[in-house]
Amino acid sequence: MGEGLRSDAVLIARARDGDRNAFAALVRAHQQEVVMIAYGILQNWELAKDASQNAFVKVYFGLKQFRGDSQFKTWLFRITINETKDLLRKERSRGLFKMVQDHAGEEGSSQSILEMIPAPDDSPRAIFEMKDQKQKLEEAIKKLPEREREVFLLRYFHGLLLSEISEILNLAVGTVKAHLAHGVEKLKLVFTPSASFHQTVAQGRRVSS
Amino acid sequence: MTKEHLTEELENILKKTRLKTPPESLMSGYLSNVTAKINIASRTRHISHFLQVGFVILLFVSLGFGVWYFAYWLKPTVSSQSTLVPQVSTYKQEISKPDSLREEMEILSSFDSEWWEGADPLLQEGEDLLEEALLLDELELSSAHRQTPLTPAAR
Repeated sequence: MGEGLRSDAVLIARARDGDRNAFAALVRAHQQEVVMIAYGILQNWELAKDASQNAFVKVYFGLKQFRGDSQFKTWLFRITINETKDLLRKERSRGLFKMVQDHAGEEGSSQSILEMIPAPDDSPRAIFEMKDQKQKLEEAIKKLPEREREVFLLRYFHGLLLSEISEILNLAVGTVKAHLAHGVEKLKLVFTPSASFHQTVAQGRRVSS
Repeated sequence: MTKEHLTEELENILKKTRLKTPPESLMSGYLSNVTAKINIASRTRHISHFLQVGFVILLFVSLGFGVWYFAYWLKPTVSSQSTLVPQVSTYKQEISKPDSLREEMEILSSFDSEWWEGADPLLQEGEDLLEEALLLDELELSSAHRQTPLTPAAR
């Protein structure tokens, strides 16, 4: 059992007994990742914050029912994803979501979900190329179907195991594998040299015409 | 599918990118907001719990009243043919009792006098209306007689 898991277990036990400080420590330990998960779906920081806070409220009231069969993190992520999807549905039904997204788009890179990891020895040219690649990856991820996108982000950006993802999304491990395989295949197509060549040619034609 | 199945290029890009972290301004006051939401939710939960209990009590009271009404107020009686006959009217039961002739005569006479007392003003009113109608008819007939032109035969 890792240090994080052990500390989670201790904090959960204390929070169950009504220790608000222990619960606050749990929130502090996971808040950033939870907001990032919500942001991956909503692509709006304010809504992501709201959804993740609602998830923590649910966790607080559900702590007594948490049996510890799964990891706390997995349970928390599942609640967060459900809350986020609920919020997304509500916002869409109120017709506000598109408006919020359009507004965020106007402000600049608010809708971007990825950022580059800066390396000190990268040349300006390399940084420029990386920016381009990042943009391409982000667009490709956004084009993936919902399930494939969720599985891909949880696997490659949150570093979760397939079994953990299957628990979070309430899917069989085989289904998770299939979604991941489909998603990765689509992304591979975007990043194969031939695809890049075809894209470049297509761009060139557009420019010349 | 494992991470090894990625192409070299895709793997490189994934290594050099990560999910955006939330801005610090967004995360300030995050915990206090969560605490506030918990406080609001616990208050709401108390109220909704109270309402639920109230609703259940109300339901049981109305069910109890219903049972009492059907069991005691509308006492079902079993007739000789084993069919349920609701005992709605006690009056029916009273008159169905075999009375003596004298008692029956008393009831009839009291009913008769009551009926006449009640009917008297109505009859009076009816008679007045009848008289009025006859008078009107008479007037109309007499004026009609006067206005009818004489036929050549009559002349």
